[in-house]
Amino acid sequence: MNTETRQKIIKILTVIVTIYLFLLTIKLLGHSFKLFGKEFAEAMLQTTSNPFTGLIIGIVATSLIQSSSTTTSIVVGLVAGGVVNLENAIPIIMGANIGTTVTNTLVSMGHVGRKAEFKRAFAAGVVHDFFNICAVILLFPLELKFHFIQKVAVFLNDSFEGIGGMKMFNPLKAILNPVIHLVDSLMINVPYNEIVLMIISIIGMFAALGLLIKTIRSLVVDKIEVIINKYLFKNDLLGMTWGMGMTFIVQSSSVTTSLIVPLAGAGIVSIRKIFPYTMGANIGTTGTALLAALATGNPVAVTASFAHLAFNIFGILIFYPLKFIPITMAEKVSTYVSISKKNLITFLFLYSMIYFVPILFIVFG
Amino acid sequence: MWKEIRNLWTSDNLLNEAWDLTYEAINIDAEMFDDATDALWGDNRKTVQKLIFKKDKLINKYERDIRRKVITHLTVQGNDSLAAGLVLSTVIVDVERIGDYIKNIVDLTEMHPDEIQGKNTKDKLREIEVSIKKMFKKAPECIESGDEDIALDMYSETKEIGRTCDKYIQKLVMKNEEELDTSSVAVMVLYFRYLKRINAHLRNIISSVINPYDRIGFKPKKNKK
Repeated sequence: MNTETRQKIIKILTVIVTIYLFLLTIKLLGHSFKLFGKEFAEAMLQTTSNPFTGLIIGIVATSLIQSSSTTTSIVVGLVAGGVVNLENAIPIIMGANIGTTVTNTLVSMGHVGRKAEFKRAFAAGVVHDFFNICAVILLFPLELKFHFIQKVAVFLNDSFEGIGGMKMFNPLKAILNPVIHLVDSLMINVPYNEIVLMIISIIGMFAALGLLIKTIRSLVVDKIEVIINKYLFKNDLLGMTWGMGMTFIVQSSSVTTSLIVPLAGAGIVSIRKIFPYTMGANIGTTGTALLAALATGNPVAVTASFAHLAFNIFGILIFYPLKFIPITMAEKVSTYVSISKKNLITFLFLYSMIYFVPILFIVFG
Repeated sequence: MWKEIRNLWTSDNLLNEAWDLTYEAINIDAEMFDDATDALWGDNRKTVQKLIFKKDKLINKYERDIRRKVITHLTVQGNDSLAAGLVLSTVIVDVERIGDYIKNIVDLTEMHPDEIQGKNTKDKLREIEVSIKKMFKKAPECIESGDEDIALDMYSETKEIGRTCDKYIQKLVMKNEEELDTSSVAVMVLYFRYLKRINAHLRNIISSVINPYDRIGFKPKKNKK
Protein backbone atom coordinates (compact mmCIF):
# COMPACT_ATOMS: atom_id res chain seq x y z
CA MET A 1 0.00 0.00 0.00
CA ASN A 2 1.54 3.35 -1.02
CA THR A 3 1.67 6.46 1.18
CA GLU A 4 -1.09 8.22 -0.73
CA THR A 5 -3.55 5.34 -0.27
CA ARG A 6 -2.59 5.06 3.40
CA GLN A 7 -3.18 8.78 3.90
CA LYS A 8 -6.54 8.53 2.16
CA ILE A 9 -7.64 5.66 4.41
CA ILE A 10 -6.55 7.62 7.51
CA LYS A 11 -8.54 10.64 6.30
CA ILE A 12 -11.67 8.56 5.62
CA LEU A 13 -11.41 7.02 9.11
CA THR A 14 -10.97 10.54 10.54
CA VAL A 15 -14.15 11.64 8.75
CA ILE A 16 -16.11 8.70 10.19
CA VAL A 17 -14.80 9.34 13.70
CA THR A 18 -15.42 13.12 13.53
CA ILE A 19 -18.97 12.63 12.23
CA TYR A 20 -19.57 10.32 15.17
CA LEU A 21 -18.06 12.84 17.60
CA PHE A 22 -20.08 15.68 16.05
CA LEU A 23 -23.34 13.74 16.45
CA LEU A 24 -22.36 12.67 19.94
CA THR A 25 -21.61 16.24 21.06
CA ILE A 26 -24.94 17.47 19.63
CA LYS A 27 -26.76 14.79 21.56
CA LEU A 28 -24.73 15.61 24.68
CA LEU A 29 -25.55 19.30 24.26
CA GLY A 30 -29.27 18.59 24.14
CA HIS A 31 -28.83 16.28 27.11
CA SER A 32 -26.92 18.91 29.10
CA PHE A 33 -29.68 21.49 28.52
CA LYS A 34 -32.20 19.03 29.91
CA LEU A 35 -30.05 18.72 33.05
CA PHE A 36 -30.27 22.48 33.60
CA GLY A 37 -33.86 22.02 34.67
CA LYS A 38 -37.19 23.73 34.15
CA GLU A 39 -36.19 27.19 35.39
CA PHE A 40 -33.34 27.49 32.94
CA ALA A 41 -35.58 26.31 30.11
CA GLU A 42 -38.15 28.94 30.98
CA ALA A 43 -35.47 31.66 31.14
CA MET A 44 -34.08 30.65 27.75
CA LEU A 45 -37.56 30.53 26.26
CA GLN A 46 -38.15 34.00 27.64
CA THR A 47 -34.88 35.34 26.18
CA THR A 48 -35.50 33.99 22.71
CA SER A 49 -39.23 34.72 22.70
CA ASN A 50 -38.59 38.07 21.04
CA PRO A 51 -38.04 37.15 17.38
CA PHE A 52 -35.83 40.22 16.78
CA THR A 53 -33.57 39.14 19.61
CA GLY A 54 -33.46 35.65 18.11
CA LEU A 55 -32.57 37.04 14.71
CA ILE A 56 -29.76 39.15 16.15
CA ILE A 57 -28.45 36.26 18.25
CA GLY A 58 -28.26 34.23 15.03
CA ILE A 59 -26.44 37.00 13.12
CA VAL A 60 -23.96 37.88 15.85
CA ALA A 61 -23.21 34.33 17.02
CA THR A 62 -22.62 33.11 13.47
CA SER A 63 -20.47 36.05 12.45
CA LEU A 64 -18.33 35.54 15.55
CA ILE A 65 -17.82 31.81 15.01
CA GLN A 66 -17.93 32.09 11.19
CA SER A 67 -20.04 28.98 10.79
CA SER A 68 -23.78 28.78 10.29
CA SER A 69 -23.56 24.99 10.56
CA THR A 70 -22.33 25.36 14.13
CA THR A 71 -25.00 27.90 15.08
CA THR A 72 -27.84 25.90 13.56
CA SER A 73 -26.52 22.70 15.13
CA ILE A 74 -26.47 24.40 18.54
CA VAL A 75 -30.03 25.61 17.89
CA VAL A 76 -31.01 22.04 17.06
CA GLY A 77 -29.38 20.94 20.34
CA LEU A 78 -31.30 23.64 22.22
CA VAL A 79 -34.56 22.57 20.60
CA ALA A 80 -33.85 18.92 21.40
CA GLY A 81 -33.10 19.94 24.99
CA GLY A 82 -36.45 21.70 25.17
CA VAL A 83 -34.99 25.11 26.03
CA VAL A 84 -35.89 26.75 22.71
CA ASN A 85 -39.14 26.07 20.92
CA LEU A 86 -39.59 25.81 17.17
CA GLU A 87 -41.12 29.26 16.80
CA ASN A 88 -38.18 30.90 18.57
CA ALA A 89 -35.61 28.80 16.73
CA ILE A 90 -36.60 30.01 13.25
CA PRO A 91 -35.43 33.66 13.65
CA ILE A 92 -32.08 32.45 15.04
CA ILE A 93 -31.69 30.19 12.00
CA MET A 94 -32.53 33.12 9.69
CA GLY A 95 -29.92 35.25 11.46
CA ALA A 96 -27.34 32.49 11.06
CA ASN A 97 -27.79 32.73 7.30
CA ILE A 98 -26.76 36.39 7.36
CA GLY A 99 -23.93 35.90 9.83
CA THR A 100 -22.21 33.23 7.77
CA THR A 101 -21.60 35.60 4.85
CA VAL A 102 -19.08 37.76 6.72
CA THR A 103 -16.28 35.38 5.72
CA ASN A 104 -16.68 36.14 1.99
CA THR A 105 -16.48 39.86 2.59
CA LEU A 106 -13.33 39.40 4.66
CA VAL A 107 -11.76 37.26 1.90
CA SER A 108 -12.48 39.96 -0.69
CA MET A 109 -10.44 42.45 1.40
CA GLY A 110 -7.34 40.55 0.30
CA HIS A 111 -7.72 42.22 -3.11
CA VAL A 112 -7.91 45.75 -1.78
CA GLY A 113 -4.59 46.78 -3.37
CA ARG A 114 -5.85 46.56 -6.96
CA LYS A 115 -8.91 48.63 -7.74
CA ALA A 116 -10.58 46.68 -10.58
CA GLU A 117 -9.77 43.34 -8.99
CA PHE A 118 -11.09 44.49 -5.60
CA LYS A 119 -14.31 45.73 -7.18
CA ARG A 120 -15.00 42.32 -8.72
CA ALA A 121 -13.97 40.36 -5.61
CA PHE A 122 -15.96 42.61 -3.29
CA ALA A 123 -19.10 42.28 -5.43
CA ALA A 124 -18.70 38.49 -5.36
CA GLY A 125 -18.22 38.60 -1.59
CA VAL A 126 -21.21 40.78 -0.73
CA VAL A 127 -23.71 39.31 -3.21
CA HIS A 128 -24.25 36.45 -0.75
CA ASP A 129 -24.81 38.98 2.05
CA PHE A 130 -27.36 40.92 0.01
CA PHE A 131 -29.19 37.77 -1.04
CA ASN A 132 -29.51 36.61 2.56
CA ILE A 133 -30.38 40.07 3.86
CA CYS A 134 -33.08 40.46 1.17
CA ALA A 135 -34.48 37.01 2.01
CA VAL A 136 -34.66 37.88 5.72
CA ILE A 137 -36.15 41.35 5.11
CA LEU A 138 -38.94 39.74 3.11
CA LEU A 139 -39.48 36.43 4.85
CA PHE A 140 -38.93 37.39 8.48
CA PRO A 141 -42.06 39.64 8.83
CA LEU A 142 -44.09 37.19 6.74
CA GLU A 143 -43.04 34.37 9.02
CA LEU A 144 -43.97 36.40 12.10
CA LYS A 145 -47.41 37.03 10.63
CA PHE A 146 -48.25 33.72 8.95
CA HIS A 147 -45.73 31.14 10.32
CA PHE A 148 -45.60 29.61 6.86
CA ILE A 149 -41.98 28.41 7.18
CA GLN A 150 -42.91 26.70 10.43
CA LYS A 151 -45.95 25.09 8.76
CA VAL A 152 -43.89 23.86 5.81
CA ALA A 153 -41.24 22.50 8.20
CA VAL A 154 -43.89 20.65 10.22
CA PHE A 155 -45.32 19.26 7.00
CA LEU A 156 -41.85 18.13 5.86
CA ASN A 157 -41.20 16.50 9.20
CA ASP A 158 -44.58 14.72 9.17
CA SER A 159 -43.91 13.45 5.66
CA PHE A 160 -40.43 12.38 6.70
CA GLU A 161 -41.77 10.51 9.69
CA GLY A 162 -44.57 9.13 7.52
CA ILE A 163 -42.14 7.41 5.19
CA GLY A 164 -40.24 6.00 8.18
CA GLY A 165 -37.39 8.50 7.97
CA MET A 166 -36.88 8.73 11.72
CA LYS A 167 -36.84 4.96 12.07
CA MET A 168 -34.17 4.80 9.41
CA PHE A 169 -31.89 6.80 11.70
CA ASN A 170 -32.73 4.76 14.81
CA PRO A 171 -29.40 2.91 14.68
CA LEU A 172 -27.78 6.26 15.50
CA LYS A 173 -29.41 6.07 18.92
CA ALA A 174 -27.94 2.63 19.44
CA ILE A 175 -24.41 3.82 18.86
CA LEU A 176 -24.76 7.18 20.65
CA ASN A 177 -26.82 6.35 23.74
CA PRO A 178 -24.33 3.99 25.45
CA VAL A 179 -21.70 6.77 25.36
CA ILE A 180 -24.22 9.30 26.71
CA HIS A 181 -25.00 6.92 29.60
CA LEU A 182 -21.30 6.40 30.22
CA VAL A 183 -20.67 10.19 30.30
CA ASP A 184 -23.64 10.57 32.64
CA SER A 185 -22.26 8.01 35.07
CA LEU A 186 -18.80 9.62 34.95
CA MET A 187 -20.19 13.11 35.55
CA ILE A 188 -22.55 12.21 38.35
CA ASN A 189 -20.24 13.44 41.15
CA VAL A 190 -18.84 16.41 39.25
CA PRO A 191 -20.08 19.74 40.68
CA TYR A 192 -22.16 21.78 38.21
CA ASN A 193 -22.11 18.78 35.92
CA GLU A 194 -24.67 20.31 33.54
CA ILE A 195 -22.45 23.37 32.93
CA VAL A 196 -19.33 21.21 32.54
CA LEU A 197 -21.19 18.94 30.14
CA MET A 198 -22.48 21.89 28.11
CA ILE A 199 -18.99 23.39 27.83
CA ILE A 200 -17.48 20.03 26.87
CA SER A 201 -20.22 19.49 24.26
CA ILE A 202 -19.77 22.91 22.67
CA ILE A 203 -15.96 22.67 22.59
CA GLY A 204 -16.23 19.10 21.31
CA MET A 205 -18.69 20.13 18.62
CA PHE A 206 -16.43 22.98 17.43
CA ALA A 207 -13.43 20.67 17.33
CA ALA A 208 -15.29 17.84 15.60
CA LEU A 209 -16.91 20.09 13.00
CA GLY A 210 -13.65 21.99 12.39
CA LEU A 211 -11.68 18.77 11.91
CA LEU A 212 -14.46 17.29 9.79
CA ILE A 213 -14.51 20.28 7.42
CA LYS A 214 -10.70 20.33 7.20
CA THR A 215 -10.40 16.58 6.54
CA ILE A 216 -13.20 16.42 3.98
CA ARG A 217 -11.77 19.46 2.23
CA SER A 218 -8.34 17.85 1.96
CA LEU A 219 -9.97 14.64 0.70
CA VAL A 220 -11.97 16.26 -2.06
CA VAL A 221 -9.89 19.34 -2.85
CA ASP A 222 -8.61 17.96 -6.19
CA LYS A 223 -12.18 17.24 -7.25
CA ILE A 224 -13.44 20.64 -6.06
CA GLU A 225 -10.99 22.50 -8.27
CA VAL A 226 -11.98 20.39 -11.26
CA ILE A 227 -15.67 21.07 -10.55
CA ILE A 228 -14.99 24.81 -10.36
CA ASN A 229 -12.92 24.77 -13.53
CA LYS A 230 -15.08 22.57 -15.73
CA TYR A 231 -18.65 22.33 -14.56
CA LEU A 232 -19.58 24.93 -12.01
CA PHE A 233 -20.32 27.95 -14.12
CA LYS A 234 -21.70 26.33 -17.30
CA ASN A 235 -25.28 27.29 -16.45
CA ASP A 236 -27.35 28.40 -13.46
CA LEU A 237 -28.79 24.97 -12.69
CA LEU A 238 -25.37 23.35 -12.66
CA GLY A 239 -23.98 26.19 -10.56
CA MET A 240 -26.75 25.81 -8.02
CA THR A 241 -26.52 22.01 -7.96
CA TRP A 242 -22.75 21.94 -7.53
CA GLY A 243 -22.93 24.73 -4.92
CA MET A 244 -25.41 22.62 -3.00
CA GLY A 245 -23.48 19.36 -3.44
CA MET A 246 -20.07 20.81 -2.61
CA THR A 247 -21.38 22.58 0.50
CA PHE A 248 -23.22 19.46 1.64
CA ILE A 249 -20.00 17.45 1.37
CA VAL A 250 -17.68 20.08 2.89
CA GLN A 251 -20.35 21.05 5.49
CA SER A 252 -19.52 24.74 5.31
CA SER A 253 -20.97 27.38 3.01
CA SER A 254 -18.29 29.82 4.20
CA VAL A 255 -15.63 27.53 2.73
CA THR A 256 -17.33 26.92 -0.61
CA THR A 257 -18.42 30.51 -1.22
CA SER A 258 -15.10 32.00 -0.10
CA LEU A 259 -13.28 29.80 -2.61
CA ILE A 260 -14.74 31.63 -5.56
CA VAL A 261 -14.11 35.19 -4.35
CA PRO A 262 -10.46 35.23 -5.53
CA LEU A 263 -11.59 33.75 -8.87
CA ALA A 264 -14.10 36.55 -9.24
CA GLY A 265 -11.35 39.04 -8.34
CA ALA A 266 -9.18 37.62 -11.11
CA GLY A 267 -12.11 38.02 -13.50
CA ILE A 268 -12.42 34.27 -14.14
CA VAL A 269 -16.09 34.21 -13.10
CA SER A 270 -18.71 36.93 -13.07
CA ILE A 271 -21.05 37.83 -10.24
CA ARG A 272 -24.02 36.62 -12.32
CA LYS A 273 -22.51 33.15 -12.56
CA ILE A 274 -21.59 33.12 -8.89
CA PHE A 275 -25.10 33.98 -7.72
CA PRO A 276 -26.80 30.58 -8.37
CA TYR A 277 -23.81 28.86 -6.81
CA THR A 278 -24.17 30.84 -3.57
CA MET A 279 -27.89 30.05 -3.51
CA GLY A 280 -27.06 26.35 -3.85
CA ALA A 281 -24.54 26.70 -1.01
CA ASN A 282 -27.34 28.02 1.21
CA ILE A 283 -29.26 24.77 0.66
CA GLY A 284 -26.18 22.57 1.05
CA THR A 285 -25.33 24.05 4.43
CA THR A 286 -28.67 22.91 5.88
CA GLY A 287 -27.41 19.30 5.71
CA THR A 288 -25.30 19.63 8.86
CA ALA A 289 -28.17 20.71 11.09
CA LEU A 290 -30.40 18.02 9.58
CA LEU A 291 -27.79 15.39 10.39
CA ALA A 292 -27.44 16.81 13.91
CA ALA A 293 -31.22 16.80 14.38
CA LEU A 294 -31.52 13.20 13.25
CA ALA A 295 -28.89 12.24 15.81
CA THR A 296 -31.02 13.75 18.59
CA GLY A 297 -34.00 11.65 17.50
CA ASN A 298 -36.20 14.57 18.54
CA PRO A 299 -39.00 15.36 16.02
CA VAL A 300 -39.07 19.07 17.00
CA ALA A 301 -35.33 19.34 16.41
CA VAL A 302 -35.77 17.68 13.01
CA THR A 303 -38.58 20.14 12.25
CA ALA A 304 -36.24 23.04 13.16
CA SER A 305 -33.66 21.76 10.70
CA PHE A 306 -36.38 21.45 8.05
CA ALA A 307 -37.31 25.07 8.81
CA HIS A 308 -33.74 26.05 7.85
CA LEU A 309 -34.14 24.15 4.58
CA ALA A 310 -37.60 25.63 3.90
CA PHE A 311 -36.38 29.19 4.57
CA ASN A 312 -33.56 28.79 2.06
CA ILE A 313 -35.81 27.21 -0.55
CA PHE A 314 -38.28 30.10 -0.22
CA GLY A 315 -35.38 32.52 -0.52
CA ILE A 316 -34.33 30.93 -3.80
CA LEU A 317 -37.87 30.73 -5.17
CA ILE A 318 -38.32 34.44 -4.58
CA PHE A 319 -34.89 35.85 -5.34
CA TYR A 320 -33.76 33.69 -8.24
CA PRO A 321 -36.33 35.36 -10.52
CA LEU A 322 -35.51 38.69 -8.82
CA LYS A 323 -31.77 38.12 -8.86
CA PHE A 324 -31.17 41.55 -10.32
CA ILE A 325 -31.93 43.01 -6.86
CA PRO A 326 -29.08 41.46 -4.83
CA ILE A 327 -26.75 41.50 -7.85
CA THR A 328 -27.34 45.21 -8.55
CA MET A 329 -26.94 46.03 -4.87
CA ALA A 330 -23.63 44.15 -4.76
CA GLU A 331 -22.40 45.82 -7.95
CA LYS A 332 -23.37 49.31 -6.78
CA VAL A 333 -21.75 48.84 -3.37
CA SER A 334 -18.57 47.36 -4.88
CA THR A 335 -18.32 50.30 -7.28
CA TYR A 336 -18.77 52.71 -4.37
CA VAL A 337 -16.15 51.07 -2.13
CA SER A 338 -13.60 50.68 -4.90
CA ILE A 339 -13.56 54.43 -5.64
CA SER A 340 -11.61 55.42 -2.54
CA LYS A 341 -10.37 54.15 0.79
CA LYS A 342 -12.66 56.68 2.48
CA ASN A 343 -15.69 55.03 0.84
CA LEU A 344 -14.48 51.60 1.87
CA ILE A 345 -14.07 52.69 5.48
CA THR A 346 -17.54 54.29 5.42
CA PHE A 347 -19.06 51.07 4.09
CA LEU A 348 -17.23 48.88 6.61
CA PHE A 349 -18.42 51.15 9.40
CA LEU A 350 -22.03 50.84 8.23
CA TYR A 351 -21.59 47.10 7.68
CA SER A 352 -20.29 46.59 11.22
CA MET A 353 -23.21 48.66 12.55
CA ILE A 354 -25.57 45.96 11.23
CA TYR A 355 -24.02 43.79 13.90
CA PHE A 356 -23.31 46.22 16.72
CA VAL A 357 -26.42 48.38 16.81
CA PRO A 358 -28.76 45.42 17.43
CA ILE A 359 -26.46 44.19 20.20
CA LEU A 360 -26.68 47.61 21.84
CA PHE A 361 -30.45 47.44 21.57
CA ILE A 362 -30.49 44.03 23.25
CA VAL A 363 -28.10 45.12 26.00
CA PHE A 364 -29.64 48.48 26.75
CA GLY A 365 -33.15 47.95 25.39
CA MET B 1 -24.64 15.32 -15.00
CA TRP B 2 -23.81 11.65 -14.30
CA LYS B 3 -21.28 11.67 -17.09
CA GLU B 4 -19.69 14.71 -15.48
CA ILE B 5 -19.62 13.00 -12.09
CA ARG B 6 -17.99 9.94 -13.66
CA ASN B 7 -15.42 12.12 -15.40
CA LEU B 8 -14.82 13.94 -12.17
CA TRP B 9 -13.99 10.69 -10.42
CA THR B 10 -11.22 9.91 -12.90
CA SER B 11 -9.93 13.47 -13.25
CA ASP B 12 -6.48 14.65 -12.21
CA ASN B 13 -5.75 17.87 -10.32
CA LEU B 14 -5.77 21.08 -12.36
CA LEU B 15 -2.04 21.75 -12.08
CA ASN B 16 -1.23 18.37 -13.64
CA GLU B 17 -3.82 19.04 -16.33
CA ALA B 18 -2.15 22.40 -16.99
CA TRP B 19 1.27 20.72 -17.36
CA ASP B 20 -0.23 18.22 -19.81
CA LEU B 21 -1.70 21.09 -21.84
CA THR B 22 1.72 22.78 -21.88
CA TYR B 23 3.39 19.66 -23.32
CA GLU B 24 0.60 19.43 -25.86
CA ALA B 25 1.05 23.09 -26.81
CA ILE B 26 4.80 22.54 -27.34
CA ASN B 27 3.98 19.58 -29.59
CA ILE B 28 1.55 21.75 -31.56
CA ASP B 29 4.34 24.34 -31.94
CA ALA B 30 6.57 21.56 -33.27
CA GLU B 31 3.94 20.51 -35.83
CA MET B 32 3.44 24.12 -36.88
CA PHE B 33 7.18 24.55 -37.27
CA ASP B 34 7.40 21.44 -39.48
CA ASP B 35 4.56 22.71 -41.67
CA ALA B 36 5.95 26.24 -41.88
CA THR B 37 9.45 25.12 -42.88
CA ASP B 38 8.00 22.75 -45.49
CA ALA B 39 5.97 25.64 -46.89
CA LEU B 40 8.97 27.95 -46.96
CA TRP B 41 10.93 25.50 -49.10
CA GLY B 42 8.02 25.04 -51.44
CA ASP B 43 5.68 22.28 -50.18
CA ASN B 44 1.93 22.65 -49.51
CA ARG B 45 2.07 26.44 -49.36
CA LYS B 46 -1.63 26.92 -50.05
CA THR B 47 -2.98 24.70 -47.31
CA VAL B 48 -0.37 25.46 -44.67
CA GLN B 49 -1.30 29.05 -43.88
CA LYS B 50 -4.85 28.21 -42.87
CA LEU B 51 -3.73 25.21 -40.86
CA ILE B 52 -1.05 27.14 -38.98
CA PHE B 53 -3.35 30.00 -38.10
CA LYS B 54 -5.88 27.47 -36.79
CA LYS B 55 -3.24 25.75 -34.65
CA ASP B 56 -2.02 29.10 -33.36
CA LYS B 57 -5.53 29.89 -32.20
CA LEU B 58 -5.57 26.54 -30.40
CA ILE B 59 -2.35 27.44 -28.59
CA ASN B 60 -3.86 30.77 -27.55
CA LYS B 61 -6.83 28.86 -26.16
CA TYR B 62 -4.49 26.53 -24.29
CA GLU B 63 -2.73 29.56 -22.82
CA ARG B 64 -6.00 30.90 -21.42
CA ASP B 65 -7.02 27.43 -20.19
CA ILE B 66 -3.69 26.97 -18.43
CA ARG B 67 -3.92 30.35 -16.71
CA ARG B 68 -7.48 29.58 -15.59
CA LYS B 69 -6.45 26.16 -14.27
CA VAL B 70 -3.43 27.59 -12.46
CA ILE B 71 -5.38 30.34 -10.71
CA THR B 72 -8.22 27.98 -9.78
CA HIS B 73 -5.73 25.46 -8.42
CA LEU B 74 -3.89 28.08 -6.37
CA THR B 75 -7.16 29.54 -5.07
CA VAL B 76 -8.50 26.19 -3.94
CA GLN B 77 -5.33 24.43 -2.81
CA GLY B 78 -3.40 27.34 -1.32
CA ASN B 79 0.21 28.27 -1.83
CA ASP B 80 1.86 24.85 -1.82
CA SER B 81 2.09 24.80 -5.61
CA LEU B 82 2.68 28.52 -6.04
CA ALA B 83 6.13 28.16 -7.65
CA ALA B 84 4.91 25.50 -10.09
CA GLY B 85 1.92 27.68 -10.99
CA LEU B 86 4.10 30.72 -11.66
CA VAL B 87 6.54 28.65 -13.75
CA LEU B 88 3.65 27.29 -15.83
CA SER B 89 2.25 30.77 -16.44
CA THR B 90 5.70 31.93 -17.59
CA VAL B 91 6.46 28.92 -19.79
CA ILE B 92 3.17 29.06 -21.66
CA VAL B 93 3.90 32.65 -22.71
CA ASP B 94 7.09 31.43 -24.41
CA VAL B 95 5.16 28.60 -26.07
CA GLU B 96 2.63 31.10 -27.38
CA ARG B 97 5.35 33.46 -28.67
CA ILE B 98 6.89 30.60 -30.65
CA GLY B 99 3.53 30.20 -32.40
CA ASP B 100 3.64 33.89 -33.34
CA TYR B 101 7.13 33.59 -34.90
CA ILE B 102 6.03 30.52 -36.83
CA LYS B 103 3.19 32.60 -38.25
CA ASN B 104 5.80 35.16 -39.29
CA ILE B 105 7.61 32.40 -41.21
CA VAL B 106 4.39 31.61 -43.05
CA ASP B 107 4.05 35.31 -43.88
CA LEU B 108 7.48 35.10 -45.49
CA THR B 109 6.25 32.34 -47.81
CA GLU B 110 3.45 34.68 -48.86
CA MET B 111 5.74 37.64 -49.42
CA HIS B 112 8.42 35.65 -51.27
CA PRO B 113 6.78 32.85 -53.24
CA ASP B 114 9.85 32.29 -55.44
CA GLU B 115 12.56 29.81 -54.59
CA ILE B 116 15.19 31.17 -52.20
CA GLN B 117 18.66 31.43 -53.73
CA GLY B 118 22.10 30.95 -52.14
CA LYS B 119 23.04 27.33 -51.56
CA ASN B 120 25.48 27.73 -48.63
CA THR B 121 23.19 29.93 -46.60
CA LYS B 122 20.21 27.70 -47.42
CA ASP B 123 22.11 24.66 -46.18
CA LYS B 124 22.89 26.44 -42.93
CA LEU B 125 19.24 27.40 -42.50
CA ARG B 126 18.15 23.80 -42.99
CA GLU B 127 20.79 22.65 -40.52
CA ILE B 128 19.42 25.06 -37.90
CA GLU B 129 15.87 23.94 -38.65
CA VAL B 130 16.87 20.33 -37.95
CA SER B 131 18.47 21.33 -34.63
CA ILE B 132 15.37 23.25 -33.60
CA LYS B 133 13.10 20.34 -34.58
CA LYS B 134 15.17 18.08 -32.31
CA MET B 135 14.89 20.67 -29.57
CA PHE B 136 11.08 20.69 -29.92
CA LYS B 137 11.03 16.92 -29.52
CA LYS B 138 13.27 16.89 -26.47
CA ALA B 139 11.76 19.90 -24.62
CA PRO B 140 8.55 18.29 -23.24
CA GLU B 141 10.46 15.15 -22.20
CA CYS B 142 13.09 17.27 -20.50
CA ILE B 143 10.53 19.35 -18.57
CA GLU B 144 8.52 16.28 -17.58
CA SER B 145 11.57 14.40 -16.31
CA GLY B 146 13.09 17.53 -14.75
CA ASP B 147 16.51 16.21 -15.81
CA GLU B 148 18.89 19.13 -15.25
CA ASP B 149 21.79 17.54 -17.15
CA ILE B 150 19.73 17.15 -20.32
CA ALA B 151 18.40 20.68 -19.84
CA LEU B 152 21.92 22.12 -19.50
CA ASP B 153 23.04 20.32 -22.68
CA MET B 154 20.01 21.65 -24.54
CA TYR B 155 20.64 25.12 -23.11
CA SER B 156 24.22 25.10 -24.48
CA GLU B 157 22.92 23.90 -27.85
CA THR B 158 20.43 26.76 -28.08
CA LYS B 159 23.19 29.24 -27.23
CA GLU B 160 25.22 27.87 -30.14
CA ILE B 161 22.24 28.10 -32.51
CA GLY B 162 21.72 31.72 -31.46
CA ARG B 163 25.36 32.57 -32.15
CA THR B 164 25.18 30.90 -35.58
CA CYS B 165 22.07 32.88 -36.50
CA ASP B 166 23.77 36.16 -35.50
CA LYS B 167 26.88 35.25 -37.49
CA TYR B 168 24.90 34.51 -40.66
CA ILE B 169 22.74 37.63 -40.35
CA GLN B 170 25.91 39.69 -40.12
CA LYS B 171 27.42 37.88 -43.14
CA LEU B 172 24.31 38.43 -45.23
CA VAL B 173 23.96 42.10 -44.38
CA MET B 174 27.61 43.11 -44.48
CA LYS B 175 29.23 40.81 -47.06
CA ASN B 176 26.56 39.05 -49.14
CA GLU B 177 29.24 36.59 -50.36
CA GLU B 178 26.83 34.64 -52.55
CA GLU B 179 25.72 37.88 -54.27
CA LEU B 180 22.03 37.31 -53.65
CA ASP B 181 19.33 39.72 -54.76
CA THR B 182 17.93 42.13 -52.16
CA SER B 183 14.68 40.23 -51.79
CA SER B 184 16.43 36.93 -51.02
CA VAL B 185 18.74 38.64 -48.52
CA ALA B 186 15.76 40.20 -46.78
CA VAL B 187 13.93 36.88 -46.59
CA MET B 188 16.98 35.04 -45.31
CA VAL B 189 17.83 37.69 -42.71
CA LEU B 190 14.26 37.66 -41.44
CA TYR B 191 14.19 33.86 -41.42
CA PHE B 192 17.46 33.68 -39.45
CA ARG B 193 15.98 36.23 -37.07
CA TYR B 194 12.77 34.22 -36.60
CA LEU B 195 14.72 31.02 -36.06
CA LYS B 196 16.84 32.84 -33.48
CA ARG B 197 13.73 34.03 -31.64
CA ILE B 198 12.05 30.60 -31.72
CA ASN B 199 15.29 29.10 -30.45
CA ALA B 200 15.50 31.74 -27.69
CA HIS B 201 11.97 31.01 -26.50
CA LEU B 202 12.77 27.30 -26.46
CA ARG B 203 15.81 28.18 -24.35
CA ASN B 204 13.58 30.08 -21.92
CA ILE B 205 11.29 27.04 -21.66
CA ILE B 206 14.23 24.73 -21.00
CA SER B 207 15.75 27.13 -18.47
CA SER B 208 12.69 26.57 -16.26
CA VAL B 209 14.12 23.11 -15.52
CA ILE B 210 17.51 24.45 -14.46
CA ASN B 211 16.74 27.83 -12.94
CA PRO B 212 14.71 29.01 -9.99
CA TYR B 213 11.60 31.04 -10.85
CA ASP B 214 13.30 34.44 -10.75
CA ARG B 215 15.97 33.32 -13.25
CA ILE B 216 13.74 31.67 -15.87
CA GLY B 217 14.93 32.92 -19.26
CA PHE B 218 18.32 33.96 -17.88
CA LYS B 219 21.73 32.33 -17.90
CA PRO B 220 22.04 29.53 -15.34
CA LYS B 221 24.41 30.30 -12.47
CA LYS B 222 27.92 28.95 -13.02
CA ASN B 223 27.95 26.38 -10.22
CA LYS B 224 25.27 24.40 -12.13
CA LYS B 225 27.90 23.04 -14.51
